Amino acid sequence: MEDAQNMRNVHSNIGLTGNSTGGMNGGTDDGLPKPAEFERSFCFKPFCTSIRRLVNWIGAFAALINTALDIVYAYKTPYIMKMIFLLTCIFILVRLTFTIVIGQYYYTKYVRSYKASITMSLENK
Amino acid sequence: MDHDEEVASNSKKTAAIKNAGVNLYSTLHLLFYTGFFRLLPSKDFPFEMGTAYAIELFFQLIPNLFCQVFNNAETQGDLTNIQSAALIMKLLCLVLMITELVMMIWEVTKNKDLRKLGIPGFEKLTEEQRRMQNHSRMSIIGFASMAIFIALLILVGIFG
Repeated sequence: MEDAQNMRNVHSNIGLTGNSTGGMNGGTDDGLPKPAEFERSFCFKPFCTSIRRLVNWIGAFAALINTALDIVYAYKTPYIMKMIFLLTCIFILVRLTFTIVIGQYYYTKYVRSYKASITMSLENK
Repeated sequence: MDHDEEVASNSKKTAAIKNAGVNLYSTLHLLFYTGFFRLLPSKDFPFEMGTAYAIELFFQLIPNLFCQVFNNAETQGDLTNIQSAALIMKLLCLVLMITELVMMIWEVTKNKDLRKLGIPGFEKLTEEQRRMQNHSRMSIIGFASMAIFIALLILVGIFG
């Protein structure tokens, strides 16, 4: 218990609490909990968090360029072995298919299951 | 507030949350494909991000790396710009992905620790809060990334 209190004090001192301008429970006016310090706007984050965000942005753009290059590579480059060309095309299609399937899975899971919770919350009211 | 107003307010709120959910989860497709899922907050979307990283690694990076290495090795003479660029980008993406995964795992672990200690700001968000906090930003990022992807595809196709 004492350890937890000490940790809270330490994190409060180093500005990790995300509560420097918030209310008693770290909540915002719209009822949402205040985002953690590293989820706030870019300029006000601790150094290591800014680095992480920067790496993520670079990674995202690299992935985007990589995906585009893969497609152009398969379209424009002459292949000596037809099997490798077929494999490349298959993997491009598999990536696209899996993306749609997994995206659809999350859509179904969260959007559909949310309907039930709405009904329940309204019934409770 | 009378009963009718309360019902109207509730249904308005419900509709807003539902719309936010539709926006957020329909954008996930675009984010997963373009690689911009990395910008989702790992605190709130750890499983979604893990799945997207796995798809990218096992269905794009590793297999295409092997295919391109074999094809480049078989190519007579000098490699074209596209061949070199694709291979360099793949290696860069691998290095970046390893770095991102290490940082993400570290961040998720730290989040769990801080949540256990009850530090404000690290609470687990409810589904409604998760939607309301992320839907507009991620929708913009998703559609912008797809537009950049299409533009890039056309540009590289023409000038590459």
